[in-house]
Amino acid sequence: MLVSFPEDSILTKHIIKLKTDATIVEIEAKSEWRFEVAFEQKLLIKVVEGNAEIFGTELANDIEYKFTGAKASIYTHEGCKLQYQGEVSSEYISEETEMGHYINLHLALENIRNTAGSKAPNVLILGAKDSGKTTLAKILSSYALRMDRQPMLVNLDPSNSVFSIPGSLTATPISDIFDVEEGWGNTYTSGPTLLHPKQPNVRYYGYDDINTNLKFYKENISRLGLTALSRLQVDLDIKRTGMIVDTPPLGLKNIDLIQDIVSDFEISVIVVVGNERLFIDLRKKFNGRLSLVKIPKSAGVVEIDDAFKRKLQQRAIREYFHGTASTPLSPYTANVDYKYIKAYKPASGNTSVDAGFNPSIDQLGYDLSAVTGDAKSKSKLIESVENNSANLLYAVVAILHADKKDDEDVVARSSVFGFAVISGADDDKHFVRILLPVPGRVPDKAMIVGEFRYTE
Amino acid sequence: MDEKDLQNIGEDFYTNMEDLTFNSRPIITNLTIIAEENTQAAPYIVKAVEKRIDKALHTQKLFAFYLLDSICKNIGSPYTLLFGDNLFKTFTSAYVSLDDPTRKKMIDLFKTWLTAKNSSGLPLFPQEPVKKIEEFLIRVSSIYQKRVTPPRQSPTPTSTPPMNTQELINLINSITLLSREKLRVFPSDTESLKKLDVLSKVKQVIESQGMDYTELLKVKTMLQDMYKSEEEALKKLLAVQQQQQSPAMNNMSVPIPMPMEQVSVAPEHPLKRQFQQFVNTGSNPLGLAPIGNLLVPPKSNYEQLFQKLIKVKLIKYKRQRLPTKQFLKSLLSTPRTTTNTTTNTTTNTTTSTTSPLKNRPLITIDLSQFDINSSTLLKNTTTSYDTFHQLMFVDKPNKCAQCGKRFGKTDREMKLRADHLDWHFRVNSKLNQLGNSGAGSAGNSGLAMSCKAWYLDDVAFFKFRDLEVFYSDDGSNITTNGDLHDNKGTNTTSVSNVKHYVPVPESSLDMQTQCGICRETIKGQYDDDLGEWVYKDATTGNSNSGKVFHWSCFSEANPQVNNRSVSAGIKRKFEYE
Ligand SMILES: [Zn+2]
Ligand SMILES: [Zn+2]
Repeated sequence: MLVSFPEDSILTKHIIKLKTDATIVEIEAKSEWRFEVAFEQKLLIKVVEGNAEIFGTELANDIEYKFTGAKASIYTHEGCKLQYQGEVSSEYISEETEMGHYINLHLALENIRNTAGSKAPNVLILGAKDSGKTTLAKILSSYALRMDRQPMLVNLDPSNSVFSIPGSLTATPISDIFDVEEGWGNTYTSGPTLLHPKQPNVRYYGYDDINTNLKFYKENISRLGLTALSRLQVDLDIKRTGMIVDTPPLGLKNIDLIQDIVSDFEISVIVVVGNERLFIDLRKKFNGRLSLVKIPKSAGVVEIDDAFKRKLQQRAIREYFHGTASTPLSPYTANVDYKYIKAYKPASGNTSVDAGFNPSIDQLGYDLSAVTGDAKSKSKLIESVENNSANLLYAVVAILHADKKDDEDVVARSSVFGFAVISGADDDKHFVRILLPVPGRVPDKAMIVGEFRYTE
Repeated sequence: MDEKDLQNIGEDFYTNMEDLTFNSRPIITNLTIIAEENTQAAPYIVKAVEKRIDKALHTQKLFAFYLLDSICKNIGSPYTLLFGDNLFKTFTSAYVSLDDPTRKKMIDLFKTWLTAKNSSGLPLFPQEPVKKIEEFLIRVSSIYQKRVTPPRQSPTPTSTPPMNTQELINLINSITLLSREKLRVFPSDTESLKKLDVLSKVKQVIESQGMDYTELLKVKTMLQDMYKSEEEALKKLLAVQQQQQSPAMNNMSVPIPMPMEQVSVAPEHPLKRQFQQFVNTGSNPLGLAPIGNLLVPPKSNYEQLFQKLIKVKLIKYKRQRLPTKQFLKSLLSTPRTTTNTTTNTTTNTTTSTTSPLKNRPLITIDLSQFDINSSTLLKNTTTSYDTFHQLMFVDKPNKCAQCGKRFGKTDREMKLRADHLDWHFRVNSKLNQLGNSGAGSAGNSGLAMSCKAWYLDDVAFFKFRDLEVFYSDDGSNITTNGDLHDNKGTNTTSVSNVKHYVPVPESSLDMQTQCGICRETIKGQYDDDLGEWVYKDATTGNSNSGKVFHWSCFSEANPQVNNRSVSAGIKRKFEYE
């Protein structure tokens, strides 16, 4: 939720320089300072005394952090003094923090991790919109990291952009701290970065809302679960820590999907944030089969309205290609004939019938045969897209690892190689102009087009 | 001889030192003789040696120190005084950049400085820097112990050992190190985990309050027992390890022709290296008194220790922030069922009557009280805050000034920290190098670099190990797909082999254009690999203006670009021109 940097920099800097008045905020122990910075604003924050953290990641002292387009809070365990400079839409100190519960939860998870003979917890976080799920996922991951562990953070909310662009679902081993200015941080797909980059496994679903094409969404999460669990089995650092799985807002009506996720990711702990009814229902459902706990919704969670969310999404796309002000990247534009483009989209007619697709929930899932066998018998997951400007212009496309000559089945199961934007399409000349992250020819690979569009 | 000549001697000396890439007695002897014959150039020679220590590769710094040592011990004044001026800085800044085995050698070297005398019977170096180095080593290294206490036959309380809390802290550090190593080999060894927690608590108690001599002595005895049994355990572990490894890998000790005692080259395996330190050297690195033959089971060790601690002093404990009091209370008050199935050797102790500690292993930050159930989670207990504080801050006192990441106090974590700082340094200099012409802006905000790569496929992701890349020599340099990705069909986009070309736009009728800088014609050529018409060795400077430049002209005009891809900053620059 926390990302940063406006177009840039020189002009904004001057404005800031004029406003040199720095404000000092003193935060008492176990309290947090909440702030909101609009996209056109820029805020500089420095910890001048004590220790402070943003969503579990401790800040360095006397170093300026820049925020733009962010709603966040800074928590201090023992009290601290901050200095800020610039503009904020709102800021206030609150003693009413859920951090105590989060800390308890972290210690409880740590207890499981430490208990001999027990498997490290795979944690599923459920809750309503704006209940603080993502914040909690981030905090739990950060805390595990601070204890020298390496959690695997899984994002199943396609409207979030976690180490990727919106529309994606990702599994990312968290081997170093998050970038608090960026929200998440860089991946190995960018150049040299100030913090250690992360290496996510990325799948592209292509829509903001999971109900737009629930079938394709489910296919993607079970694929992601397969990859994530396989890695977990062999990577001891991750195996000893477990997974933290963040989700889109799910409720009672999504109970089948929740069950799928539980089996796809071998979930052993479910945390329900601020949804008593869901908690009670799940208790009946999973009675004793896994640990189920509830946590109140954080009072500090601000509503992320749609406009703000769209801006975050657009920024995530822009940063994928152009980097950030601190680590800018230069993408590459190529012109190619239509014949080099092979695009698919999630097959229509898959909309939101939750009952239709039910991949082997109870047979300890995710073995390959179950899924492929299923794929044959069911209708198509993806369908070909005709190359024309109506379909492609400004489309964000996921370039898959699958070859463009591969079977549709293979394509539908493939993970993401990278993203591109069709920035021009000429139906007469049969040419597209395509924005690529990496210089070179357009990869000979299949692509998926979803609903996301992007213009520079 | 004028100043200039002397300076030249110093420079020659520096050049000669460049041969010191391995531990060579002839070279060191030779250079020592040169230094002896040119004492009038001593200030320059000293500078040269210091510079060499600073500039040499990490793997070669030690040899330069051996040269320093040789010069000082064989010649003495004025070299000893001159080196003394910067000795602390020279020593410590090198020390932090070295790996553990080399640090050990540095410590061995330093120990000889404590006892070495010059010709007039005075200490080799000025006392002040030596003292500071010693304090530094005590702080950063658990294998360094102050003024090596002479081994005693038995720890009789009647002897009057130099007893101070620092000694106990060092002891605790050593046990911690041993336990951590054990834990690394057997991650499931929860006993060690618990022990680690106990140790860190005990340490706090010792640090935070004055104990009298007899109390300290009791604690010390306990700790020594503990050390002994941990060491035994590790030796056994190592024996198992050695059986599993090829015999050739063992005993890889290479005699080194040095003024110091013989040092063994540590084998590659980081685990083994640690073990080697304790076991293979044969010596007791802590200079601990050998304790009786009784191999006391570790559990009863810390149980006893605790009971003693409690009896002795803990109640007096008052500082609020620190968890100990709270922690002990919880320790005493929660006779929870434990997962422990092994037998508890309990104790004949005369102390403790009603202690519920009897039947449970002495844990520590009792994480088991943090159940995964809703009511526990909703409680706001001081215990959890204190536990959190202990784990996140007290156990990890070293905060990185650049990114806020914290590191603990063990040798291993200090090493990780040094690597981490190195990494910051490499990345920062790389970013600066890429963006150093950003007008006025600090570092890197002006110019862009581009070496974006693709995501890994499932198989490569499955095989990827984050930490291996981290601690590789140049983790910062990884642009993924290269060596880590063996998948066919993946573009390997390392920065150096990026081809510079511009596709001929469809709108172009004559298939040629003019270089925007030198105005020469650039002709389109058909590229077989790409399957399209391109302007070879050309760039658009990434602007969308349609201008095309020779790559050479472009990079000449923008030297900072080198052979890297084009930057957004340059793009801006061109558009404004
Ligand atoms: Zn750092
Ligand atoms: Zn030219």
